[in-house]
Amino acid sequence: MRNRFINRLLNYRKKNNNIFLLSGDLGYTVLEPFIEKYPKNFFNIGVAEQNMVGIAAGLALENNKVFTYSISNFATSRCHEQIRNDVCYHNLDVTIVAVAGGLAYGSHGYTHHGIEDIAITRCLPNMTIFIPSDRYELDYCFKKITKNKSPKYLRLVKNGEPNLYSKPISGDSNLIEHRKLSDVNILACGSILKEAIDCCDFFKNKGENIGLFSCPIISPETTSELKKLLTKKNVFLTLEEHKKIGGFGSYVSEISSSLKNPPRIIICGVANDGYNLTGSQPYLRNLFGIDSNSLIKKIKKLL
Amino acid sequence: MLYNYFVMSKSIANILMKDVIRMTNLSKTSHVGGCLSCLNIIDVLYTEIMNIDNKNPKSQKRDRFILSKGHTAAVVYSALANKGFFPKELLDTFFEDGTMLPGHIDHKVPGVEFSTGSLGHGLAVGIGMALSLRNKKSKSNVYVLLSDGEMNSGSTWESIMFAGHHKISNLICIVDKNSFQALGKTNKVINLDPLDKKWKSFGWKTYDIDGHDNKKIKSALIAGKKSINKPTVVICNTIKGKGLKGFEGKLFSHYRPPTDKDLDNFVKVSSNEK
Repeated sequence: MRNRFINRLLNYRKKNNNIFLLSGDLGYTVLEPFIEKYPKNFFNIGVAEQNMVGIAAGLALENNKVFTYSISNFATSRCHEQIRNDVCYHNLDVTIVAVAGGLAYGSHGYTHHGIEDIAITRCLPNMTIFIPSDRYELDYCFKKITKNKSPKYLRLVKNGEPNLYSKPISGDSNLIEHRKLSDVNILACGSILKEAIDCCDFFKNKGENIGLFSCPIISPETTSELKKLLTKKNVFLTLEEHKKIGGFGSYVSEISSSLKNPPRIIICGVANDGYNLTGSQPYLRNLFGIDSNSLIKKIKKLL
Repeated sequence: MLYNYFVMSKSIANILMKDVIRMTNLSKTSHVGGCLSCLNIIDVLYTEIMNIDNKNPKSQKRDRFILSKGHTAAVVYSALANKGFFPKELLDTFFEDGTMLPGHIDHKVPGVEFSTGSLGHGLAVGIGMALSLRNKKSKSNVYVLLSDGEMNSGSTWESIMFAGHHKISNLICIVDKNSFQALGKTNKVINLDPLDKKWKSFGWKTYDIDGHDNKKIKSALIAGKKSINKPTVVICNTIKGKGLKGFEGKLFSHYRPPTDKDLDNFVKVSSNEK
């Protein structure tokens, strides 16, 4: 997904001179094609994320479109006030690009678990969040990013994520239907969509349809779409690689709570006390009950 | 000693001073001390250095100014009002409910480039602007005013390192070194002296001057504009609360608003000086 992102950025730069890419000294074997082709549009700011976001804001104030690049927590938590005051309050065209969102760097330990990023970015003014599940959703998001002149957060994983689509995504919806709406439905956010697809396939083989929608974008438009969807059925599981507090599930629950007859929302995410666990992404997904097998168990109880 | 201000031909220091004291008195709010310590700097920037136009505040040819010590907004609001960016009557709404002029400087005010208030943000933003202007081969300069308390912030040093390394010569930083921060003397909280040598070691052209001498401020800023391969910092040694009787060099000038009596006294003294 990281390489796909840089390819898309390269293509976009070809037709747009005002693109800047800033890195917090990360991106080895990823950013080089951009740096070699457009050295004047790239700055390695060093291990200095606060400075990076401030500089991004300054460049954006001069009518540039700016991308900052770092690992999830460094890109968001370390410089949160700069994102809040400098970028979001001024409504600037800066995209905070984070790699290793979720549990992708699970074995590296808690410092590298990007599991609070949605909570701390979605509460900021003017912010749109993009959490693609695979390269097709990344392409879909990137098109919207090029048109959006406000603050954006793009959460990537790493490389080698499986393709979850067989062809480019068409349409303009922020909610992408994978399985038709049913009595029990999953709303998935990010690369963990793969676990939801596997879960739905299991039930499909048993002759049961579990509804499945991917939600790669969190924005006011998504809120409107979700409002409509949530009125239609009674049970929705939300699935994310993020703490249960403040993330995608919280977002859906907040929308649901404004409805006259809200559906039941079951948040499937990282346990709020699950900060001292280390291991690979599949290992941690299993521990937190957000892998396909755990989902199957949860849904069996609901049917 | 107010009072060499009034002999400067273009200086509006006495007007700025009266406005600041009046604004903080009317609103009963803090930060008059820091406004008065940087008042000459603002005076020189707005009357003699910066290319700005109230009729075209977003002109690409303008110089950019960021008040990184955003808590001293009052003096910049006054400078902008006196330069015709917005009606001067609005100064009396400073800090009021629903005002256009919040206590910390805000970009929604005509002529203000950037909102600050949390220290340690302005220099990085100034770097971003300066890099873009340099790329476009613009002749505009970027001026950033920092406080000396702000020199505690790690983010400020991230920016100092970066600008020195990249030789961003269209960036001119000014430090209002009034020797106080919120809870005491800066050299008692974290001693950063000799400050000029620290900046110099990071690749900056440095000037260490009397921050209440308009001629010296002007001459250092002009030298900064001419720098070709280094960013410039002008460290202005100033007095907190300068010119307001009883407030000079006092920590409480960071907090205590001037009373009606302070304002009356000031008006009386400045009238006599004329």
